[in-house]
Amino acid sequence: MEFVSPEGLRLDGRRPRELRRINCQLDVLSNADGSAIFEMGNTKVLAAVFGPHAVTRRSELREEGALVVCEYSMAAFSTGERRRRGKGDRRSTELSMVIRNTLEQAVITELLPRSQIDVYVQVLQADGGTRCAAINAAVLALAAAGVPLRDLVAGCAAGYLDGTALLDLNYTEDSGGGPDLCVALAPRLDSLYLVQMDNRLPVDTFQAVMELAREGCRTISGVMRAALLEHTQRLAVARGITAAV
Amino acid sequence: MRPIELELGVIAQAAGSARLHIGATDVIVGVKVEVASPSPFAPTQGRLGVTVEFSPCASPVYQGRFGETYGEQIAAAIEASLAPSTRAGGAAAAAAAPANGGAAGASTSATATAAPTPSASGPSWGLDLGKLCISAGKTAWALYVDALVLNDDGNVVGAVSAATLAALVDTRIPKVEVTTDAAGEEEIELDDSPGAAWRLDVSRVPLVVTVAQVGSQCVVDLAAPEERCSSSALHVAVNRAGQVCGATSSGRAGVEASMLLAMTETAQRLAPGLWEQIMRFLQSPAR
Amino acid sequence: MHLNNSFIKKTKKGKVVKVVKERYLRDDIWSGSPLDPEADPSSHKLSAAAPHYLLIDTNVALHQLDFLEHSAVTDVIVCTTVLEEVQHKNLSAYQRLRAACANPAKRFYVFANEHHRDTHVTAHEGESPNDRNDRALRVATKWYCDRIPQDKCPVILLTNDVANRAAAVAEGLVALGVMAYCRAHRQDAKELQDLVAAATGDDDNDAHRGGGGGGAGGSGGAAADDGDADGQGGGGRAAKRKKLYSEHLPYSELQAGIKANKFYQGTLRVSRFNPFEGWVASEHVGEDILISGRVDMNRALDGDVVAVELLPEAQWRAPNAKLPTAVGKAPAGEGGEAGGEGEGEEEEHQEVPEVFQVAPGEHFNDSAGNGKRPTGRVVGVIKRNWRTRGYCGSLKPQKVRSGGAANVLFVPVERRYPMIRCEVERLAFSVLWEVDEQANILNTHFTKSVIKSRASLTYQEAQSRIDDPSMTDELTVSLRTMNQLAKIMRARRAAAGALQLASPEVKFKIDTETHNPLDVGMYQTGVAIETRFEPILKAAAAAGFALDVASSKALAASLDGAVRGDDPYFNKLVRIMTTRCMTQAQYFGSGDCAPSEYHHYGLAAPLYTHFTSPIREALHNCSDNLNKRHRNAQMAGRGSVELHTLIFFKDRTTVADARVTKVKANGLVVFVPKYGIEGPVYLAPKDKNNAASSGAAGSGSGSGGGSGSGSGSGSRQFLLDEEAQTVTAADGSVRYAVFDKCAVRIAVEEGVAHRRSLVLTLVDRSELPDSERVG
Repeated sequence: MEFVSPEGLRLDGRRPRELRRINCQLDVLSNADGSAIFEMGNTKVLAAVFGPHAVTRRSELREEGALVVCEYSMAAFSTGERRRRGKGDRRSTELSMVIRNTLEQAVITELLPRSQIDVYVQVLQADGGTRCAAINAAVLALAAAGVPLRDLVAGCAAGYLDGTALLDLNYTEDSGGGPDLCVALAPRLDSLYLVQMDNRLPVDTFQAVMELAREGCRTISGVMRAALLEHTQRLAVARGITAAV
Repeated sequence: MRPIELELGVIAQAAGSARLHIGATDVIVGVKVEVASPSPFAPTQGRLGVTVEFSPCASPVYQGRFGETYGEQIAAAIEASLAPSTRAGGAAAAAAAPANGGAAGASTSATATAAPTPSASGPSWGLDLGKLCISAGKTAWALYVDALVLNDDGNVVGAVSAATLAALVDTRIPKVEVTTDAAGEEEIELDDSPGAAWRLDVSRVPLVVTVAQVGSQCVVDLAAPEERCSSSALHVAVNRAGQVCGATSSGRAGVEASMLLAMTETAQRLAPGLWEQIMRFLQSPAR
Repeated sequence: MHLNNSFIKKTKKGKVVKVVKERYLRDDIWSGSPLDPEADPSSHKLSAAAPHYLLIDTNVALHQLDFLEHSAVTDVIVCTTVLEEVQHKNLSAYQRLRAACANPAKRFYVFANEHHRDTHVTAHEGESPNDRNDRALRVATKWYCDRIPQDKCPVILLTNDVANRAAAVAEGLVALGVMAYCRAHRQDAKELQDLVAAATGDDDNDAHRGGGGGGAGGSGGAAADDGDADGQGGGGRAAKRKKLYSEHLPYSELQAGIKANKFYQGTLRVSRFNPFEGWVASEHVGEDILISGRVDMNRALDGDVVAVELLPEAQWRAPNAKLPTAVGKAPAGEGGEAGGEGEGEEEEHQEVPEVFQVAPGEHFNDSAGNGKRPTGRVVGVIKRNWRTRGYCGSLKPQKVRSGGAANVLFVPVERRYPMIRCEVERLAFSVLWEVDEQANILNTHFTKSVIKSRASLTYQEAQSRIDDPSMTDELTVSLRTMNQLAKIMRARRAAAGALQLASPEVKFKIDTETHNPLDVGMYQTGVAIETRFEPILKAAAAAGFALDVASSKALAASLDGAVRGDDPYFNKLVRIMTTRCMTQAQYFGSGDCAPSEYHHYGLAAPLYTHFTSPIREALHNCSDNLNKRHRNAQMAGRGSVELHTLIFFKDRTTVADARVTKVKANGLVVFVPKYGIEGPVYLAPKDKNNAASSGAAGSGSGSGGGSGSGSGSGSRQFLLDEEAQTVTAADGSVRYAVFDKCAVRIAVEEGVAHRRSLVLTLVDRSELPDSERVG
């Protein structure tokens, strides 16, 4: 299969270093303290944050900081082929762990000792890059819930197919058998909160793919920041704090 | 009833989908179709599967496996309303047998169906699963209705039912033709032109209306806090003509037999109007 | 970069699963023409001076590739709609089209119309994908027309689809069929018209595809030949739709057919020089049945037990007179049926694009029966010769622990069959002979027995024991006794006419003295049929001596007489070639065949029995197993010899003395005594470039057929004389006959996929150093 045409276009018409269309919606659920939908092309992830609140299981209480609980689930209709995914299958458990680890580093947990933050991630549509989209949605939901964050962490994937480093793989490209590098970056601190890669990749190529993924993270973080700002402004107007711009 | 917000085609990957808000209750229903083999008990019919899942996003209580049982109960009620024969065993079941109120305190549930007038062609209500048959005994469409509850603010059953109806309206099933090759093997050929896909006939799909008993009153469309006050509820499936197609009871105390008729009648009064309202909205040119 | 400008478009490509793919539409896709002021200069590919631009439709890309590949056709716009469609329908056509696009001289510009904001079209309700694509091309043409000054450089939609043409004209565009275009616009390059595939005026895709596939029979030969010339082109598509091989019949039918003498069962032996020619031995026919050509061989492989149906006598053929040109090159026209001699021959000519020709007088068509052999076709495979037990291990260099690489070769344990277990009591069926010192059998006694072997020795071990005077143990002494008896028996058999044969496969010098008679016996047997000896008889006659094959004794005598004063090696060569003519010994259980078939020609014994000591399995299983093991062992031996030959000759190009063993119309088969190598030598150098560039030069091979002699560019022509077993250059400068001395250069060449092979090339005998001369 040809993933990049000789004219330099990918299957969906993007160029190798282009992201898919991004769309962020904030506070979409009324019950949650913070929620967000993060869309990236046809990948659509909903995240809801409850808390910080008292720890539900006392055995898990942490004196020094907040406890982040995370659960990732996929809707039955989210994938191309219908798959009934029970909660707690291995992939979901692994992803829950990955997201939790990333978020624990992003949240300034020491400001919220003895508390618990629940983050639920629900994949509504999957078209590649759910891992990164889940992190982005969760970060947006945390920000919407007012949880203190070190930085607006953003996740982005990059791969390497047909001899070209590709940013933000969609499902077709993801199944292309090439390496898939998933990175979560705190852009201002320039520290990587998550690096995951499957498949092998020569080290020098890895450098290029890594740089591309980081660039993608920075762009996404910028888009997320803009969305948050706009949302906050709208809230402020709605609550009469500031006048409409 | 609280105002209803409806959105169609929210899930690109699904054959049909709808998102419905009623109050703060928020559900997404996705319909997927697959080519499968028909059930050996009904070789000339398509398959139908309904699931209802509570996303933990709705509330932390649904974390883990908590919501599963509740989801299954709702799924059973919805499935029974869509396809009479698959669950009820016989379409000619007599009047609803109300749940006995004896087991107080324990959660009880009973399903009963009542056929209005069985007709010769197809079922009297629900979907005509015979139309989903591709090749008798060999292949048939499997219709999967998956509901995801994103927020629970009461009346989930009603919300899922209405969203299911909308998603079924939205559903397009690809047109296929069965051809027999030289070796006698049946092959399915797909007509992939966009106009070839067909839609389901939803005119007989009933809506499930939940009528709850709060004190001595029949109340519909309860919000979450109200639900906590109700002692029992009856989910009644009513078609557009106002005929009762099935009923499922739930609740902690059981339905009082004296209330049963009033509850059913409430549902009968409410459902046809709701049905027309939804269809009118879905067919409005503004959409 | 253009993220904000792009919008999402979901294409529903409904399989059973709904697949949703995004498509981003862009505004940074340029027309690629300097005439368009908006086009980014980096995209310029089309010429500003072109008289017109061509925008091609899918049917043109699929069926008129030869036209498109012509150097006169330049400045073509290829839309991605076309590329995608071609890729789906015919991958090799796609690759050719892509190659044309990549060639800067062609100035083919790929216009990503499907990703362009202004040219992407969505299918209307009820519009078929074909119609949508046609419309997309018209939209693209329109787009080009709008930005390129039409008075300076018109854009022509080139399509053979009448409906699309009409629609385009209705929209005010210029649309032409390929032929019309050539006539109207390309008077400068009239040869283009010849390249236009013969097609009806209104060929929509399907109609034309049918025509292309069936072109073999019709007059659409031009298209068919073109496709076949490069082996991949149009032929590949036709092959997909057509069954190349007839179905193998079910086992029950095969059995019934064999019983009814309709089919003949036998093991297929594929020619060592031509993978599409083989022989099946059959007692019923009394002669080997020739299987010629890929179609008749019907997917059977060497060593398979097959059922063969004899073709009507009119279709019998002679073995191929030529060496196959290149291994792996698909013979042309295989799709056609092998009806009749003439057509078959014609195919052969296409297969060999070089200019060798059978001398008209010697053409085996004219004299009935001359050269023709019973010819059959494989109707089913009874038992596959699965090589599950790998007679050789990996022949690749492998890492060894000490660091370097070593060639690891597995030598099969079967080499030492029958497996003799020592000091173990085993049940056997024995024959006990009482012999006197002159090896006369005094008494014979058959009995069931319990045996206990004393030792397990290889022939070499046994020989060294016999030769070592210091060994006087009981075992050695009895070995000597046996050896003595064997010698007497052998002398007696020689007197009766046993052949002293030579096998070139044995690399080590064959010292007949050390060879136990049993060993020689294992190599040859005789279901002695005179016609088998035909090749050697012919060759012998041509060389001026006669071989008498009436009996083994006569043969032995005439072999002894075959001497040439100038070539001491000649006699051995004749013996080697005689050996070839005999089929291999077969082990069989004594009940399996009629006693009349027991005869062992080579040993001049009516019955040759190889005793396996223990009765291990049912008898016939045992003999089956032995045959297989013997064969495997031989294969292992060959593989090993081949490997070591390659290792030996790697980086060591050698000139060696050689003898011609076979003459073919385009080459010789030579035998190099010193190394025991036999291989083909081509009289004209194989022109690799010619084969590779057949796509570009495809026009030349189109004429094909028997008249292909005209295209010869300098290469010499050779004439084969079947009777005299000579091949002569047309100008008479060179002549080769069987048994002639010659010299070859032996070199190792690396071929496809790093596969090394030994290549022999004919050199002048003067290059041969004296030390290399044999005899």
